[in-house]
Amino acid sequence: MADKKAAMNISRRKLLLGGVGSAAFMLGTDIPFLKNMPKGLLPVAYANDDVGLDDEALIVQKEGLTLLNARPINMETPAHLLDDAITPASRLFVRNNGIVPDYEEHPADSWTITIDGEVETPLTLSIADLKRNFEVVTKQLWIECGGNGRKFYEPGASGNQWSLGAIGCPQWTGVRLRDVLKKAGVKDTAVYTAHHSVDMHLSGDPEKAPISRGVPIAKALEEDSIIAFEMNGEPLPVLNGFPMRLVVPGWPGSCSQKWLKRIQIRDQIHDGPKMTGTAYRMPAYPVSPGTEVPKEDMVIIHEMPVKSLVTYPVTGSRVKLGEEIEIRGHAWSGQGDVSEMEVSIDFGATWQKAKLDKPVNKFAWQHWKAMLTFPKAGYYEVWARATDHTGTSQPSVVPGWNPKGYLNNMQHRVAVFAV
Amino acid sequence: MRAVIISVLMLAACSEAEIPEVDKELQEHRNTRVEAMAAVYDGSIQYKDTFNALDPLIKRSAIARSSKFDPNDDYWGLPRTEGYEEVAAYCASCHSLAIVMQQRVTPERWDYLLNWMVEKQNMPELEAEERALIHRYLVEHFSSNKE
Repeated sequence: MADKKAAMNISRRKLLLGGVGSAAFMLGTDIPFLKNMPKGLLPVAYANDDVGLDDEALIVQKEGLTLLNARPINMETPAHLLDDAITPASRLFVRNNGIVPDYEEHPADSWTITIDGEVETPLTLSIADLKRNFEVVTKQLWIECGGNGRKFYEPGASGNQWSLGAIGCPQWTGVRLRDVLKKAGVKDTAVYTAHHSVDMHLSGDPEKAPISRGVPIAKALEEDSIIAFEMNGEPLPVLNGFPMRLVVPGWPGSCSQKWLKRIQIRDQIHDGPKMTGTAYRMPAYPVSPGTEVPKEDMVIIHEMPVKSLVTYPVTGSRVKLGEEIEIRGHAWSGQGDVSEMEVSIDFGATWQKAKLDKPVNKFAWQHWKAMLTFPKAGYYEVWARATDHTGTSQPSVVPGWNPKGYLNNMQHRVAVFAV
Repeated sequence: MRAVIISVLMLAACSEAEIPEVDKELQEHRNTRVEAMAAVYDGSIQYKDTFNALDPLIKRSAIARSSKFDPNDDYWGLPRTEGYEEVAAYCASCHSLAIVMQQRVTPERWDYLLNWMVEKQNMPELEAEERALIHRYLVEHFSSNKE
């Protein structure tokens, strides 16, 4: 009952704050780059009294992203803003489950991570320790939210309604997770990793973690996963995990814990927040749309499916009739093995091959392009589909409905007018 | 079998012959119409609530029908039907109502989500009557039921 009252009071305070015109006005401070503020941005400060100008300042660093939710901060990138070969920090999506840690309280030089649990020698390591004791590697690795594409499921699936842009492929610098785990000495009893960080639960309860996920020990020991402390040659952006995070490519982004403080090796499948229930799980069997699936029939997602984006031109573009235009984008798969890319301008009736580059390293997205001419004036849709080495392609329609709307890898399509 | 193929071919040839050549004037009309179509087409459609190439499988109504999150409104744009104050009070304590107002889930899922909020996310337990009111409100405005 007391809790309930508290909830009402907190809300009332927020409701009072809700009447003010803008965050900048309210706080009596100018926001630099206000003109660059993403469309649809809401003044965070009065959606949440615990979050002030700092969050606002972080959000405006993301140029042109769409804010889906300000508490917690979730932002996605429109497809045409993902045209860069290497995704810049300003255009990497943000998926948060909790409150962003105060980066001033957590400077990079005093930050450490702990490796413990089912290991011979628990380790506590700073960024300097990592650089000194392990080979530093730089890799371009894509990272995609498991719920990217959720918006297209019908009936709706619960969670942030991501459309296309919860994907990016920056260049990460760090050390191999495998090297660090080997140094700690993984015991035979090890089954799963458990990742822990310092972001706060939305309720403010210090005993609760917003998210703590992990991967099977075999995945953690593959050579591609890294503990990253730089992105595109700079310290990690605060919203993307400053100062240290995991990057576990090929699997849902939630396996790549941000603001990483501890990797605990467990002798069972990790059961932290968002490991259980329906979170990051798919039905064990295909279900009809809208089915409530019993929890015991929901299984943990591993690899992400094969997928691609058209990043140029922006949907709705006009092209001159008879002129050849370049269509381009990126393709990726949870196995890191896209082998073919095709485009269609006739709603999938016929397909033509696109030129597909090899990845710069495993789990970097692959760039593709195709030259197209349109036969007569009118409205076209350019459809794009990637195929992996097993011959598995992207479906033209939304794939199997599931309660949380994961793994939607339907073909991306953009509208083009030939006039 | 052969006869069928031949007759199909003949039919095809025949129907082709019957379609008149598009005269130049008509073709120009058509080009003008395509240009007019392109001119009214909104290039920034990705996040607009229209039926379009990017959301081909989302019913136009699914999003457009929903009330929009409005940070400048005292109740964030919640439709003012019975239950909006309770929803504002309970659902906005921890998270923004933006996440609530983008949902189109089934009534069963709203039921699940209310339980989940209490069991896992520190939401205070609701009395039966209040819970029913909130559930009814969410289903009415932000569910797959709303067509």
